[in-house]
Amino acid sequence: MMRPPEAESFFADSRKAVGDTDLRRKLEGAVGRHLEQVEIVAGAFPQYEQEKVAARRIKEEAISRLPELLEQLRRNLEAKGARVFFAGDAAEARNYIVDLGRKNAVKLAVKGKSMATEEIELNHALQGAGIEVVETDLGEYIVQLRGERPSHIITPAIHLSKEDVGKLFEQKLAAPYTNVPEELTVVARARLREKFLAADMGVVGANFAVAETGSIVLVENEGNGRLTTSLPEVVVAVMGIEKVIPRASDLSHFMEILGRTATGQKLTTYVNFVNGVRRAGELDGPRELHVVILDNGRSQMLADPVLREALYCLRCGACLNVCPVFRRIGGHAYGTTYPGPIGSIISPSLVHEGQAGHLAFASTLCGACKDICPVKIDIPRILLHLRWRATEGDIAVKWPQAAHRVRTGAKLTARLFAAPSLMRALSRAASVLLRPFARDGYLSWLPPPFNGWTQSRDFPLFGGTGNRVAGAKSAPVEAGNTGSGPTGSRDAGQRHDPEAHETEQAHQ
Amino acid sequence: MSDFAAATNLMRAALKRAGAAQNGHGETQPQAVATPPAPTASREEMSAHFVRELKELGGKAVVVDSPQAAIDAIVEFARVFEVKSAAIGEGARTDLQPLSEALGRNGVAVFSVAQAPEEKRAELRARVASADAGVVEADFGVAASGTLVFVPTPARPRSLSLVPPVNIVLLRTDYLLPNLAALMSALGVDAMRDNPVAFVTGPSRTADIEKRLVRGVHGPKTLYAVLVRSGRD
Repeated sequence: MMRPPEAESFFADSRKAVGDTDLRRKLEGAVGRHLEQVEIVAGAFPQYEQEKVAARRIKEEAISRLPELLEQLRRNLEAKGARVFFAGDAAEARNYIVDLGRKNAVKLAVKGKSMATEEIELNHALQGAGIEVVETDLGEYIVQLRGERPSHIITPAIHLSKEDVGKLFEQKLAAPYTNVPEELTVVARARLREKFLAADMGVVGANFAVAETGSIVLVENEGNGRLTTSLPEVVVAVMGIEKVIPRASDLSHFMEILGRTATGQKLTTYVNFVNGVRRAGELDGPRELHVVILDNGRSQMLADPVLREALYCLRCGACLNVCPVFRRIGGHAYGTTYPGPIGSIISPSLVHEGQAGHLAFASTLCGACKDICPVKIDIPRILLHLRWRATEGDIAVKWPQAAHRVRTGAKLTARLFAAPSLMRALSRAASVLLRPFARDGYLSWLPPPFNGWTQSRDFPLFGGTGNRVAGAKSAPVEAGNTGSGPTGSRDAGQRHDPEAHETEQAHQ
Repeated sequence: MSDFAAATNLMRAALKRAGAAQNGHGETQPQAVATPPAPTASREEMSAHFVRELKELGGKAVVVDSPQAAIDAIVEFARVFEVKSAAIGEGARTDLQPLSEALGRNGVAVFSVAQAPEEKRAELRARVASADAGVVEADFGVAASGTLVFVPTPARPRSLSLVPPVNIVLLRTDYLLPNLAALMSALGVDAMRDNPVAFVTGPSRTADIEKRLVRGVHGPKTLYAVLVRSGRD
């Protein structure tokens, strides 16, 4: 089981990750290729902005009408022979699906890519009940073979190189070593095809659930989602309450933006409608279809007018790729199911209630996530809101001294700012006293409690001119294929000069 | 087990507590979204665009003048790509019997999966799983993205465009639409309610290893679309 995300382990893991130049090179390479593709495809679509606005409006409508839309969805699903289960929390969802497996004597379950099933830690539970579970999305299959969690919402194995995957397949599947992605994919296809044909149960998530038609809609590239919902006798879809949309025609707006931001495609390869059970004389489709509607903290987000916006998220993963923090520490250091900027705003409510509040502080508030978000979620605003809630003690952050420090610091600063002459005198004194310890106008070390700053960057000397370009502490990793940023992004992380980037962050 | 009605009532209360549109930040009243008008492209322009898009995605596509020319093209494709066995169903718009017979005469073992009674399902599924190709007619096509739209029924089940490694697709050019918004109205709500509809844009693909594109993961690796010009105007 996943350990609860805690501030101390986050510090340790992210510090370790920053020092892992190999990881950073892999991340920069993959992220760069993604952003380059997004820019090309989105840039060539003049209606992109208009479609983003349309999609945003639909999400606003859906969330404000959530209760009635869920009721309508349930009616329409049941009319087509599906069974609907409302799960208040992760345990209820897990237990329902494990029971289902037991009742149907399931031996082998295949899974499509689903963050919701990661959230409820379903694989563990099914395996505990003696059911073999196989992830069929290539990236998920890779991390499952390694016994890891996905490190990215849409590219689960983004932290691995093709050589890593080659070695993994050699060890775990006894396949001859290769580092050619095509050959690795052939190996996985053959293995997983056997599983598809033998599976008694298919488990998927949902990208959208259409209230008007009672359809679960899956968006994917590999075809594994379509196979998972077409071949097994029992199919289960797990969806968060926020996945419901009012009308089938709304889908076109989401389709126009989702592939473009998530993967830089005009349209994702497969858009599949899961519509009820197998009909008489039909070759394929499930005998039983179950839909698990998962709350798990989401309705609490509804009650917070600022946080509620986070429920518009389509899980496209773009905010991870532009985030200067994610790009340096990768997904695993976050210690949560959902990493990156979106993870930092939803994890405190969803996964480990009240235990991920420190993640709101793990951001530079540079705004790149907001710029790229296809439904324009103002992530920086929500991060600030969560920081406020954390310092007010609203969220039980497992790092109580943080709230205390922030408050004390803010009070002292306020007093200093209120007395300009005192402030000038103090900074002049500090400048003189500290000068012998400075190099090029910067200090590499400050005494506690200020050492938090100098652990990661140098501090400019008070009153010094500081003509050095940046306070960055360590030489940044070779930028390599960083790619170029999305149109109009003000993310400094997109620039090819990581030094310049650090400067901008430090001065904010 | 949580009670559904109790849960939705709690959500109502939460929404009420938060208040509507109080964050002064983009929240708007629900409103219908205007769909952008369909570009007025001719059928020929749409066909050409469709072919270009699908080829860019790694698919194969050709436009032909008549049903007979489509049959000839598919027979030739089967010869070149060594398709020895093929699953087929009923056409969405076209009678596929002549195509089926032509393939049979040219050494392809063609079998129909239209209507699969429960006692024959296992056997048919095994045959589809080992077939070289699935042959199916698309209900619609979307020119802007090179998308094939399938509305599977018991007479033309979804496995045809999903399970075999090669997918041969017939598409009448009078069912080509300029973009997704136009598709939504042509397809209609009933089709999207009652059938396991699939929009398929190119061969199956992944970029899960280092974000490098690889074609043919779980779905068909080879996708061949034959667009047939039709007299209907």
